[in-house]
Amino acid sequence: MSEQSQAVEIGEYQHGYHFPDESVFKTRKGLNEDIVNAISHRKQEPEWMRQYRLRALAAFRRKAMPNWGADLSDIDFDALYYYAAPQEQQSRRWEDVPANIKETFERIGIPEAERKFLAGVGAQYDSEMVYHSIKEDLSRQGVIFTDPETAVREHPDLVKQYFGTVIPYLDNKFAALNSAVWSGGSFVYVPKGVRVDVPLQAYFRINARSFGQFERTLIIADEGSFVHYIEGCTAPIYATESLHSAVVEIIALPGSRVRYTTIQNWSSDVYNLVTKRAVAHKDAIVEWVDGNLGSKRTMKYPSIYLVGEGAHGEVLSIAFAGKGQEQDTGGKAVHAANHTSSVITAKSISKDGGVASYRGLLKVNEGLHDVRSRVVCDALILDETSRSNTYPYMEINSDDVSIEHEARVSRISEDQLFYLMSRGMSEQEASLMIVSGFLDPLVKQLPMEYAVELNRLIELEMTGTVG
Amino acid sequence: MTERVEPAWMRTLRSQAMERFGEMQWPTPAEEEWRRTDVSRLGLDSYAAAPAPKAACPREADPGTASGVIRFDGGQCTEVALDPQWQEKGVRLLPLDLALEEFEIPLYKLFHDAIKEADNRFLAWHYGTWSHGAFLWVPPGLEIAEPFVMEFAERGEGLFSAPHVAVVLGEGARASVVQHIRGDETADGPMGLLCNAAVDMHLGDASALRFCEMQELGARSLYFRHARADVGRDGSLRHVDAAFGGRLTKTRVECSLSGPGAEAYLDGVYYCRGDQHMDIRTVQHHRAPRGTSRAYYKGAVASGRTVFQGLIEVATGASGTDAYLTNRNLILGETARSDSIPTLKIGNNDVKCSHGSTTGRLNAEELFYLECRGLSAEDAREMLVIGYFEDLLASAPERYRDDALARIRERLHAPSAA
Repeated sequence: MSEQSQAVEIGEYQHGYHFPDESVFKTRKGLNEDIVNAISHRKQEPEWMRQYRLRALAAFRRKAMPNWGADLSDIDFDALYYYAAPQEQQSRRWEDVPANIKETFERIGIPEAERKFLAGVGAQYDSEMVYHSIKEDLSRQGVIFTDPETAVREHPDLVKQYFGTVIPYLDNKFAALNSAVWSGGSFVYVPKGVRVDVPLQAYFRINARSFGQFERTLIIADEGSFVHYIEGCTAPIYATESLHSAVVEIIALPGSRVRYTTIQNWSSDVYNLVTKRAVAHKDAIVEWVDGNLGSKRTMKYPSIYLVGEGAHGEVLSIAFAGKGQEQDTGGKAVHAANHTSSVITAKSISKDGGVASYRGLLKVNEGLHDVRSRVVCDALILDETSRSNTYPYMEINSDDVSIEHEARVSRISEDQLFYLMSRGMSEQEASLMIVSGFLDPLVKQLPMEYAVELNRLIELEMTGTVG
Repeated sequence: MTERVEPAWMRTLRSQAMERFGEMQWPTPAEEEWRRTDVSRLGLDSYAAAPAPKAACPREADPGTASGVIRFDGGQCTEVALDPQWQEKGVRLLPLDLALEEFEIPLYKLFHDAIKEADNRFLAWHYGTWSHGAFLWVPPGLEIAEPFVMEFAERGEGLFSAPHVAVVLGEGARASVVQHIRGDETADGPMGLLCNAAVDMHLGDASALRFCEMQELGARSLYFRHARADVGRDGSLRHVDAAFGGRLTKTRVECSLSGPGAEAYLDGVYYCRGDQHMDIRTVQHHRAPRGTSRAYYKGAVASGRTVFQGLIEVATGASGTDAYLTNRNLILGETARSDSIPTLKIGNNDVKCSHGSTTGRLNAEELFYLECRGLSAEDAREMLVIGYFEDLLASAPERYRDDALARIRERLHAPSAA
């Protein structure tokens, strides 16, 4: 065992490229009404949004910190910047993206070929969209893919109708914080019957010291439509703690299907406290694919409220907790209608003293029939100092249900290692192969380029090298 | 009437417990373990202490087929019987108050540790106010097949009682205990009886204890129970509990595998009907290497609400741990509500830990099959429900198993009469 732990040292954080902070407009540290008003003013928002932010700020102050989950006592809300705008106006074309930002993206390794594949890139530098393009055919189909600031200006009716309806600012302290200071993110509207064939993607980065990033994403899939949204993020390394607290709301109207994929690879000083929730109406399907590799502490439980008959929800969650990391992740399914089904699959790996926790909720409301759900959690612990916890909550209030839950925690089996090593692999190669096999069912669910990226990241985490 | 005179060390422990009681508040739903069981509207402070029992001088009796019998009625010990062959070999079955002098050393340790670790007000309250109880000591190396029977009839509307059971097994000893807690019509008023029970078990190295508890309090009563077991090297605990009565029950069974190679099996059945609320917690705490533990709880919920919260906790040094936790809930009625929360906290990589939970109703195909074979719908249902519980009770002493299955049958035929 000891040989193995030596062999799988984590390498230097390879995405830690940091460029001088060139933000032009930045609020001072801390949070109060003046700062919220300044953000709202800077964004030239209508009065209703400013009022919404102020109400959320009041809720943020009232709400208690969660008394469960990861240890958040290090967060000093007064020592953070809540808003910084980048130096450039929003670009139209890739060529207009400032050179240093391009260089950052280059180093994260967005391949040239992949860029062509992208339908539209909403790449976020600090809090604003700096680059944004939509393929013309999507625009023709009436798909709206923009940042939420633009949506507030150009599509106020849609925003008013749905914004904050899935995750009200009273939901929890961090949703309240996001609602008060949100900046950037994505707004997606897919009209009736439209199928978006290529995934919509946005890259997020944090690039100002002690700067919290509070993006806000709202996805509305109208009847019978389909969209796959992909969010990936990686951030430069800093000594001071950063806070990332996003809110993602999805409305899947009758018969639609929404898939939301996240590969989170924040640097190891970021608190990643995110509220993600979807509402699935009649016969709608919502899938969350959630990979958590980075950050210091993550608390994230993508949720699906199955409110229409025949709705189906799936959550696939991967967590990798390395040195100093705490991944408190999972998924929630709330069944509020007949003939609904859900599947939650979670896989976690903890290593070098990391803590991986699965935390989930499965709830069946009263008086329902034909509700099915299955929750499966598997955890691998790679060494003696790492921890794994499982907290699955199941609240069943109906009788015509079929609920199954399983969880397993184990280490890499010595039999498997022995077998592979007797075939000529080194212990390190064998461990990597077993870990890749363990994650394979999830990796398969990712689009090809993400699967490649994820495999590379796992390899990096396991061996300290790539290739 | 003789005034009860306790040794000074027990009086000191009681006042320490009451001091902790005074410092603590009643648990609130803000605490995870109490989130689903709100005790704030139960008027806990309005229950009066049951009248102090006389110093126990129970009549001697014949234990029958059991190895020993001890009976309490309204807190008063009425009967103690111990098979003479075990008496001669040093086995002791006594009312707890009569055991304090002879067994000061083990009892002081049990009570002292329990008070130190008490993490809620009910526990501190119990150790400060325990009113009556039974004590069993089995000397090292004795193997006793027939169970020791402990019967507690708790009575009194608006009163609280705090029965205690302490079992200490010497090295290599083997024994089994069947404990019954019953209520009667004297506690059928609106408040019922508040029974705040605790069990402390100490299993010496390589000893084996089977402890079976059955709770049949009245429909209005409140039942709080905390059972703790400390299992030594290569020791083996089998704990079974069966919950039937009470308008609200909140129980916790906690085993600590403190010696290498220890094992613990925590089994339980519960049947919830009417407006009953049952909240059951199990803790499998692995503190030493190579421990094995299993928790297996099965419930049927006709109406009312059940909560099962199980925890496997593995300490950093407890390598070679093998632990499993299963909870199954059979939903028999439309208004039934059942929460299942099996959790794992693992601090070690050399482990095999898993849990499973299922919630569902009777299989329609199986019912159909039995009805095709000529069974009435009611008989088919009974057969399936009894079959569901039977495997879990298979290893319990016969009398206990038969009693438990009889309670389940009664409830199947009277689904709402709680």
